[in-house]
Formats: sequence, C-alpha cells, structure tokens
Amino acid sequence: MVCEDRKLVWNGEIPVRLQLHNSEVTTVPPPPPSLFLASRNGYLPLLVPQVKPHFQSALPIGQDTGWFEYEGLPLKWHVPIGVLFDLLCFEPKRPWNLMVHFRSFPSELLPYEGEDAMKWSFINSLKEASYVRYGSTKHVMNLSQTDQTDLWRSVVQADLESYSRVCLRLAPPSGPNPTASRGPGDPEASTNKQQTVEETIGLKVPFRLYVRTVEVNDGAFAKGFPLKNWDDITYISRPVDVWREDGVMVTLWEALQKIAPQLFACVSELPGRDQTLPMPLLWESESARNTSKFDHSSYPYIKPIASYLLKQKAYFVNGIVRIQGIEPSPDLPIDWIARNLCGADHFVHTCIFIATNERK
Amino acid sequence: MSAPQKVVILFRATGDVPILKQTKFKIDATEKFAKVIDFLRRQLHRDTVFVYINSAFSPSPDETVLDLFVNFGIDGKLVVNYASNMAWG
Repeated sequence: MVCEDRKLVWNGEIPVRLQLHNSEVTTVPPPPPSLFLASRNGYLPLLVPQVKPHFQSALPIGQDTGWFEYEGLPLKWHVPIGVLFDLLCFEPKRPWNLMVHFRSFPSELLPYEGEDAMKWSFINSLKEASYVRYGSTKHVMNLSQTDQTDLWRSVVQADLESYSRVCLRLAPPSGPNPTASRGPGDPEASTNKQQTVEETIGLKVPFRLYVRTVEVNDGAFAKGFPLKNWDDITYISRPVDVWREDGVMVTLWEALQKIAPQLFACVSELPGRDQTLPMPLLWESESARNTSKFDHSSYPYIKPIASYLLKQKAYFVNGIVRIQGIEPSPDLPIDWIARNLCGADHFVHTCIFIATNERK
Repeated sequence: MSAPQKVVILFRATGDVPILKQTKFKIDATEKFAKVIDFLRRQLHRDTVFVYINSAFSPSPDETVLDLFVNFGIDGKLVVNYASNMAWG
C-alpha cells in the first residue's frame, strides 16, 4: 500500500526537448529534436538507451558516452533528474530544453562507466541513507541479488509498486518497536493503524541541501540567470530528527533552521546579526501580532520578497525552498516529507535559493 | 560543536590492497570527498580504488569532508576504508 502523495511524486515527469549538439551533427539536415517525458526520480544516463537510436545516424564515427547539457552547463549524472530541473530551471520552463552529447565527455563530471556505475552510485546513496535512518546498512547488504536487481529495475522504470515491495525489506520490521519512537505526544500514532504496512522511516532522515544564491532586483528575483559552474552550488548533507525531545514532530522549518542556521532565523536573532552574513532566507516573527510592528527599515540589509501568516506565526521570505518541484509549507512534519517527498535513494533532496542584492 | 577547519582521516586497508606507511592525514574540512579519493589513488599509484566510510557505504564524491565527518565521524576521526575491489557492494 502506497500513499497517494507518494504516488503523485513518483509519477512526476518533466517534458524534455532534446537536441543533438551541433558539434556532433554530421548530417544535413540535422536530426530533429526528440521530445519525451523524464521521470523526476530517474537519472539522466537511463535516458541514453531511449534517445540514442533517434540521433545515432547523425553521429560521427567513434565511441559513445551520452551526457547532457543545460545552457552550457554539463549535468551531473548522479543527481536525480527532478533535482537538476528544480535547481537549474529557476523559473520552470516546459519543455526543458537540453542538449545531448555522445562525444568529448567533460572532465568536470565524474567519469561515467556505464549503467553499472549508475546502479552502484544509486545503491551507495541508498546505503548512506539507510545508515542515517537505521544506523546500519545491513538491510541493503542483505538484499538478495534478485531483490537488488528488482529495486534497480523499478527505479529505471519508475515502477513505484515494485519499488515499494523491495523497500519494505530495507527497514527493520515494523511493529511495536521502533516506533516506540513515534513520540508519546503524537495523537496520530494510535489512529494511523493502516500505516502498518508502510516502511518505517527510522528516527533520522537524511537531507541533502543544494544551496544557490540568486540576484534580486527591486524586490523580485532576477530573471533567467543560468548556473555557470557547479562550484556555485553549496552542498550540505545532514541527518534531521523526526521527533523533538518533547515528543512533537519536527517541522521542515525547524529542521532547516538546525541544518543551516545561517539561512533561517527568528526575528529576535536579527538585531545582533553579523551584517556580513548573507540575508537569511526565511525568518519568523515571534507571533503574528508582531507583523505590523516589524520594521523592515531597521534591518536595511534585509528586504523580504514576501511575507505570510501561518498558524499564528508570521514568516518573511527571502528565497525559495523547493522539494520535488513543490514549495513546501514550513510547518510540514519531517515524517510526512520523508515518506512522500524523498527520492528513490531515500534522501530528501532540497533545493534552496537565497536572494542576494543585485551586483552593480 | 563548532565546525572544525581540518578533519583527521584514518585510512584502513581491506583485502589485498597495500597498507599506507602513514594512515592518518589531515585535510581541509571544506574539501569534497573526491579529493580524498584522488589523494588515495596517488598514494597507492592505482587508477581504481573502492572507498567506504565506516565499512558501510561509498559516499558521493560531491559530499564535503566536513559533512561526512559531522555525520559519520567516530572519536574525532573520519574512518575511510579502501579496497581494490567492491568490498562492501
């Protein structure tokens, strides 16, 4: 049994328009672009066997290693397609216009040695996630060859049913146990009996943050700025607790604040803030009543792009948090996010855009 | 805990792979794990080496040494196992 939101995420696809790069075209006219849907939770190299026949006859003689490019940037093959789209296509454009190459594999990417390398990278990412969630990789190591093959095939084919079947074996058996850990104060713990066939997700959830700074012009994000270099992305990888010590579920806001306190702050923390730090992406006032009293002019280095009220709290937003193409509400519990929005490798891949002042 | 500037890496050989004369190294915490793999390849004069954290998983070369140390470090060190074949799948 798989919950509906997870299904929606797994069925998420990105329309891609693929063109063969000019330098590899040997025919007149050049081959027409190829249009297809790419699964969000899939990986770029898995598209190569699908698109190669379309371009094959136009290619020069030589050895083929397919790779992809967006606005001049070679795309990392081990990052899920949906994450690449969310991170690089700041204003989502559909179809997503990509270039495909089969020659001159770029040295700035990890060398790609075929589908086995892709599978190895995926399984190791899953093992790292398992290590965070359950403190060991034994459930992944204990998978039979058949199960491992089934798991990989389910990712290649974006087959959630088959994927979920194997995933049940990736967790300690559910039952009275780890859930003990389902905090004492959780009212849903007893009512959610139907969740017993779901995977247990453990006490910690692995988060992978991809942080990008974006220029702001007159209080709005600057349009169309391609990422030129992967070094402009900051990666942060951290386990996030599912439960607070008082038995309440940790929310996305609390988790992000803990992982990257420099990016998320409470209003009370702002006055003493080091002004050389970048502006926080999201900050929170003590209560909604303070919203009107919050005087932006006293924080000249911070200009919020938006503000909103949520459950008696006021938030000021200076950037974007994007997971699986969604801008999730800051009060969503980590438990829900881990169950529904994690990638096939069990990491919650989170794209973060922070506003910076326009460069003069 | 404040973030360390440098991380101590402890290399452990597995299987029939040469043992390094020196097994402890300090590396800038901001470096990517790819740098650790490169370093090890040069030390061993080998093109291929399989590298694991805590005998458990092989991290993405994009991860920072700091993140791996904070998340998986033991006793103030990051334990990196290396092998000439896929020791832990």
